[in-house]
Amino acid sequence: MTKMPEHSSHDDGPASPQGWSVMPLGEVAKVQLGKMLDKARATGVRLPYLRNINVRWGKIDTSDLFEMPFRDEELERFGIRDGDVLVCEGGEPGRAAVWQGGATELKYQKALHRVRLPSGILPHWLVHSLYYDSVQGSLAKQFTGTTIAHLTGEAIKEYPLRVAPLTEQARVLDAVASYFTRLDDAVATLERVERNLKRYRASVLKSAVEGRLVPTEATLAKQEGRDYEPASVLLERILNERRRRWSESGKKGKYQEAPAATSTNLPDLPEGWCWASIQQLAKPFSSSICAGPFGTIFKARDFRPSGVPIIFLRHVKPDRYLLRKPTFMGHEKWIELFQEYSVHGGELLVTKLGDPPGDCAMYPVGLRPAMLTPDIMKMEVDESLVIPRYVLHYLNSSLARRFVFGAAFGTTRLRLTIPLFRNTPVPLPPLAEQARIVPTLDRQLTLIDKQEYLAQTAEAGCQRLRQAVLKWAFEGKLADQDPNDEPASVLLERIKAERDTAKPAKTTRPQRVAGNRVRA
Amino acid sequence: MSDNAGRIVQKLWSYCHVLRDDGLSYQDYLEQLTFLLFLKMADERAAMVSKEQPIPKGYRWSDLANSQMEGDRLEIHYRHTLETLGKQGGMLGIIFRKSQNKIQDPAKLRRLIVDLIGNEDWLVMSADVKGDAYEGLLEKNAQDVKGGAGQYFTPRSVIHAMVDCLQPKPGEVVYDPACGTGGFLLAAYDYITRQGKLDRDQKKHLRYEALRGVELVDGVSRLCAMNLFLHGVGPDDDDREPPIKTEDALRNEPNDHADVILTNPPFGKKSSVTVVNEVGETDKETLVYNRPDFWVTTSNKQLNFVQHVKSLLKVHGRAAVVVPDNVLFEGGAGETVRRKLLHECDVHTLLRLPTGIFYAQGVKANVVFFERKPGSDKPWTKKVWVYDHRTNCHYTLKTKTMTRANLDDFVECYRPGDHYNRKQTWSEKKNPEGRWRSFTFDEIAARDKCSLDLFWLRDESLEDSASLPDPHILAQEIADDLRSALCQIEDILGDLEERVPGRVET
Repeated sequence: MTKMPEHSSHDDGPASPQGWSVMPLGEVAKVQLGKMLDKARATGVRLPYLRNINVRWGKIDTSDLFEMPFRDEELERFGIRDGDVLVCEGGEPGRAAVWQGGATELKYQKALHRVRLPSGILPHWLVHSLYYDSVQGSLAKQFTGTTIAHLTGEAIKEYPLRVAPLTEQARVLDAVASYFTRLDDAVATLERVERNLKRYRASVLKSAVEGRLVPTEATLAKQEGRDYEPASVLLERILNERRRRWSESGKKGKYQEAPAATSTNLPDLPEGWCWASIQQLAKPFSSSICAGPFGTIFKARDFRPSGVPIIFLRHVKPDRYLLRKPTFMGHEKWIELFQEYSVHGGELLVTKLGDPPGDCAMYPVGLRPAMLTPDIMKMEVDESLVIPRYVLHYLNSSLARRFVFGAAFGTTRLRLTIPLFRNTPVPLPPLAEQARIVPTLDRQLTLIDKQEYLAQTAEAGCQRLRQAVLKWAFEGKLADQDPNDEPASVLLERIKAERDTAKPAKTTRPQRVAGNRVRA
Repeated sequence: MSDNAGRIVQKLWSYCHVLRDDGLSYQDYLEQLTFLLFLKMADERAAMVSKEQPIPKGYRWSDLANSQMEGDRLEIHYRHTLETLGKQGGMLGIIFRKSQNKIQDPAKLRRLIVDLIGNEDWLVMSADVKGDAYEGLLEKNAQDVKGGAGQYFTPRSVIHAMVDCLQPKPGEVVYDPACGTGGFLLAAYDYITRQGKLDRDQKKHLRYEALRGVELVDGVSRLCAMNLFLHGVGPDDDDREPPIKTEDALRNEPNDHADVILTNPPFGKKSSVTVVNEVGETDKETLVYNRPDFWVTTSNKQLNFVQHVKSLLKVHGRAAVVVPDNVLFEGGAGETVRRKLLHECDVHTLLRLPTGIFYAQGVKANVVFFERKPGSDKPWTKKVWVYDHRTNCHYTLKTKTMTRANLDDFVECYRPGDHYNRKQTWSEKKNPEGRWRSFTFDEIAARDKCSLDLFWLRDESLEDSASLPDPHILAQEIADDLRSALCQIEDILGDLEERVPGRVET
């Protein structure tokens, strides 16, 4: 028996494990590109075929298949059988999966290579190897194309495949499958955690605006044997004061009373609470609730690289004011036209559009003034009546969404208008109770933020762990080496010998020995 | 638990609190109780039947309870008694092996002997009372999270449902290869005695032959043997083999075979077992068993137990095994075990248990029911019936505990004794929320890695907030999930650490 050249010996990478070899894929496997659709010669029987999107990493998704005609002589050429590895030529070149679906009439097209391996190399071994090299970046060495990367037939044949003894391949693949399935389980559990944290956040918000998060003022007053001011009395008091101040100011015309919450079917409230409208909770002047200027004066050509920041939908998320991708209005234009559409810090910002609309954030105190776009409303909250962050939390709760966005009004709206917003009913707790709800809620929500971050980090960690497991797999560290295993060099020699006898007609051996290009 | 049993548990338990101040753990206390109770009952029996008792002279209850025994003298004598009896065979060996006195204060030991144990007539007390009292203590011990004894404790609701499904009969051998404190064996015993009057031979068989358990940990098998003994199972002398063996069940291919196997192999970390060796050092052994009867060699303890159970069964014997989810989905050795099991046995039922019912935290578990079959080319499993008692089921150990009644619907669907005559409650069109559904062998064999991790019900956590549970319920669920993810990742970590070359044991 003659010894095969050890291709790995040319390489500058880490030494291969004992008994392993590295060999260009084309030397051991048959690689065949899929059928190109040729409209001019569209004859034959129409059959479903796999294309790039059907081949995911490690999995073939047959839920979305196209068909095209295949002539008789193409049926075998573009056929698929168990153990075939399908490798993407473009898109994400090298993405690969093993066909294990049994006998099939499925064919494949030219965005895929079919790699048929000899029995001495396990198909999943190749797929894991490609995945590992793809994420590590070393597979990119095989790619052609400057803008769009391709893995051509020539290139994939030169792909340096590490080959372990056959029995060791099986041991490694078993170990990888065991780790990966457990990681899948951990990731699925963490995804559930992330979903449940979202529901948990919603549930905490809901309990807060339904009076279940902290003891109510009514309960405490009873326990402590004292009086308290119910929200209805508070509201009445503030409204009277507003009326009194208006008449004292000597303004002309009739006093415009803020309309009360009118919606029917309002749920019951805890003792001491009452319903109020957003309009009642805003400061008593007309521009305390307004949206940005209309397009007639608000034009993109006035945007400048610096100046007064403009608040777009993308900047307002539930309880988050984001500074990403800022756009500015020229300072002079702002002075001239837009001061009344501005916020200075502490105002609530509410989205008019979105799915659903009604996201509420506070414009932070301490930033310079910014102006609204027509899709954003601001609200200046009357703090003698309600703590602004209480209104903010309420607007972001599922309870408010019901009023703002649908169920309560019987229709589904994707746009929140100013009149609708002004009329939105708010369950108003006594002031002292608000002062307990808001900090408790703020604390809980920051804890949830932290948990969400932890769950995401752990999930990302699991994905990195997959790579690390593969690293050990291809360094020979994941499963035991057995000196009694047939070395890969002998295995490869046997494969070649079998291949040569299988086609005695072809005497020309592949000219290209790609040893010096091989990377381990 | 009867009132009388409750009173005794209360009495014994309150004394435990006294001894805990001296640094005695629940487990230590239970052991001392076990030693003394065994001696007291042997004494009572000898008096009743006027026969020589199996306890060697000089080490009997009467010697300990002698009013002259006080102070250091009592302490020294008790120590010698334990040492001597620990060297005996049979039941005595099981009860006393490696026993030690943990009660340092002779006055307290004296009080335990005279007041608590000496004051009751244990032998005439019905098995229900003393057995239930002892089991009550075992359960309290399991709840003691710090002791970690919880991993030996299967929820009683699950045990009873499993027994009700398998219906052990008089004359059959019931085996638990990971018997813990004997919960399954006693439930089977109860079940058999409740099935009408037994004749003399059947009674004898039930007492001496029918129940067999193996337990790895000395301290636990001792509690198990005593638990059985108090319920009237097992010999009180050395003439017959005790029902419990202390050994590693997985070490050797079994010689005996069982009609019925009911077991909950320990969850916990796989692949290594902490064994305290002769000189008291802690040995962390990696256990890879070389078992010619196994389909595959693996360090996964639960997969090994499944293979062991199959080997232990007689042909046509029936088994119900509590397994974690990993056994259902893990690739590699897990896939081999599943494919072989489906082929060589009739794996007819899978019960998916809810979270929040085990003392061991973060456990997601199932019960697999199967029957061993004779050799065949064709797979014996035709259909796997799955009952999903997990999706959208919420239980906790304290406030919302699972009861046997919660499993009534499952047992009814199972149709014990007639399980080839089942009806799905699930239907794609008419009842997509049905929890009872069958899958054909072909459907399962075609699944990736032959996974039995089957779910079909809508998970409420995927829904939007239409029916939003209260925060504390969601927080509980999140905590359970995080624990389960943590267990999974620690399990992976354990395996990876095994592969680090030249690792140093800490």
